[in-house]
Amino acid sequence: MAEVKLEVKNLTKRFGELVAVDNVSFEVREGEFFSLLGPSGCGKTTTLRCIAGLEIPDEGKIFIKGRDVTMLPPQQRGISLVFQEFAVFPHMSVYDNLAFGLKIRGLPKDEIRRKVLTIAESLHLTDYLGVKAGKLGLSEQQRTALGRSIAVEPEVLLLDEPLTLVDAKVKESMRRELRRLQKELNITILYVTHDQLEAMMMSDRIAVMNAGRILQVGSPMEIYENPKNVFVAKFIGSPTINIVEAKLEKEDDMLKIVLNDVKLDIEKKLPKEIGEKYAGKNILIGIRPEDLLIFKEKSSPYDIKCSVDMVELTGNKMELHLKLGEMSIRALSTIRFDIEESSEIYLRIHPEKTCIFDRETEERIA
Amino acid sequence: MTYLEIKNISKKYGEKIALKNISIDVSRGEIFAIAGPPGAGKTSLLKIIAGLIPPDEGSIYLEGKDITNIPPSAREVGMFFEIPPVYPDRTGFENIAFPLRLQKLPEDEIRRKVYEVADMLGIRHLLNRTPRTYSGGEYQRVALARVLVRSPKLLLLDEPLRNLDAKIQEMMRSWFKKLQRELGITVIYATHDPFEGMAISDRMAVLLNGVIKQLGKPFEVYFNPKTLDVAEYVSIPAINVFEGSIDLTDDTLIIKIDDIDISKKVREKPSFLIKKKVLVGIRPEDVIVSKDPKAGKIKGKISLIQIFGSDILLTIDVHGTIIRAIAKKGLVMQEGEQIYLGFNEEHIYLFDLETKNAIYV
Repeated sequence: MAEVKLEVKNLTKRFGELVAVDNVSFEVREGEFFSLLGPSGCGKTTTLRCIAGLEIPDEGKIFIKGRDVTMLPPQQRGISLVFQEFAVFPHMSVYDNLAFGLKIRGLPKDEIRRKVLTIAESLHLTDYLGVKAGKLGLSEQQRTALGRSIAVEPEVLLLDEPLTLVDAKVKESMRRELRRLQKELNITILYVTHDQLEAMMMSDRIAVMNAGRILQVGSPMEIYENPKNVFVAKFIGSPTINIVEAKLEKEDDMLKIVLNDVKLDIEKKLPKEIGEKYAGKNILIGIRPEDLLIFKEKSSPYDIKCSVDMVELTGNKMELHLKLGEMSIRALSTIRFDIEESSEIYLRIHPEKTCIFDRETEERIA
Repeated sequence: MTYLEIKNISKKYGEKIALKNISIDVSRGEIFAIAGPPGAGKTSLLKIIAGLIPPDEGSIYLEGKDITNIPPSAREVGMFFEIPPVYPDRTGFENIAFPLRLQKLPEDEIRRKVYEVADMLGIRHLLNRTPRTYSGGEYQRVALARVLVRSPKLLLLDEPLRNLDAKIQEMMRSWFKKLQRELGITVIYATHDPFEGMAISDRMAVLLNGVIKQLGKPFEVYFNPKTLDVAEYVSIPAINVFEGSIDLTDDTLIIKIDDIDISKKVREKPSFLIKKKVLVGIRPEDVIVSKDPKAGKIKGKISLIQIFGSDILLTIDVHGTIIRAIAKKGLVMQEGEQIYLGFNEEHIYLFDLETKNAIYV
């Protein structure tokens, strides 16, 4: 297994009464793209600022390559920090952009030259070294900005929402490029974002944060398919997962979910001892919009009648906002067919594709 | 019936053309999106409709009345900006009441109107608090209430979601659309995000470099783009574009891209296409990937796997040609692995090499 580059251990940071970061621990390994993901105010940026040395934590330790850096000034930590914008100095040449950090560190001229040429080659920028960075295309600009931040050979590259200001179209291609380069050059990245799509696209692992705490750490697929609680389930995935309340009933010794008069067989999904514990109680069912099947006509006893509240087209997909009694349910369909708003429709839930949560604790039970 | 008519609007800033001959008809109760990248001219157009800047040429009619030379305050048009101005130290109530106080309305009418709009937007609980305590979504709602309280005939929204967290954007987008449906208000909605524009609107215009390149229902624009730049603009992840040439048998087009041959059945024989060089556009979602050699004739190597929303985005190397493809979750793959490709021939788009106009056969 790759070496641990960054270790954050029991980190706590308070601002007056507010606990911004609450006992956070995680590790980032060499060559890993690790994201801290959460809503505004969840503590992700404060965590990053502690790692960068811009904040002193109240408790806990930070190790970079095994070295305790908790109390060291930023420039002695072996990190590079890029925030809000993956920017270049537009009036400087690509060469000067790449050399910038090295010059500040007072490296000898020939060593700077050697390092800049190596970096330029690995980022396919050799032909542009004499060009003013502002004149470059977006892809070259991004590579230049990345080159500038890795020229100083940081152990860990810290990125704080570097794509926030970029428009939606460009973002998608930049995410592909950044991920490709990170893999190719084996850069270790700690990435901070509120955008789950972004974290999902680039990360090897993601830590989902809320209210100063890490709720779950895992690969994008793991947290998508096996969220530990309702918050993670709702935060990951777009459109947002449906969370509906239903009753778990025992009938002829079989467990069933009762949802608006329709009974769904849940035997396979639910381990027996959990089923026994929750029988007769209300639970929360999580089901992703893309896992709901939509029919224009009732074709099985498991189909649930809904009315179409609103339709939104996103590319080749349709997002359907459905009304099931008082409940709002969202479905995502790739098959295009004509649906009128306020018409009736049937949806089918595959019990195997659901997550089941405790109604009180909102923790996953199956 | 046309409610708002924008007729031949042009605008220059010095030598730079911001808008060129823009004409749009909007019906009452319609939500119309103007979608285009930053700098396309969206905000200029909204400001001209609101009366905040004058057009060089053209006219604006609202309910049949020429409003081109009427000052903004008399237009009954409400505009909501990317970062809406809200007084941070005044309560929600005072913020919403502000435009009514300017109109010097009696106090009891102000109260009635503020509560009415607050109930409509579900923000009564925010009236006694100051914006400092609001979340991003709450802030937007109060700011919108301030625009709606004047009962505008037309609501202009300029990137209303831009500064919100991604998750809140998704929620607010649906909320806006539902609200618009309930109120029946006519809305012009400007956004840089093509998916946002498609999702929210009844009809949309794609605005590129100050020119409307296409206008229609979202699915028409998406599935029948008229030009390459429209196809590129509305496709996320980016559409694959290759240079190719065309051969023709009786009822089949053979599209040649490097070593790859793609066949597409055609109804009539478009002889003008024979031997023609074209640009071929194929969206990642129309590339079919499989591990089974029978599923596709083209062999490629996966160079990157990324999770993209509810799908998986693959970057595939086919003898040096990079092809992006969408795969369903559940297909277990690894980077470096061989894979077979096919195409959904119904959605292979052809564009003229020179004019970049779409060729439909």
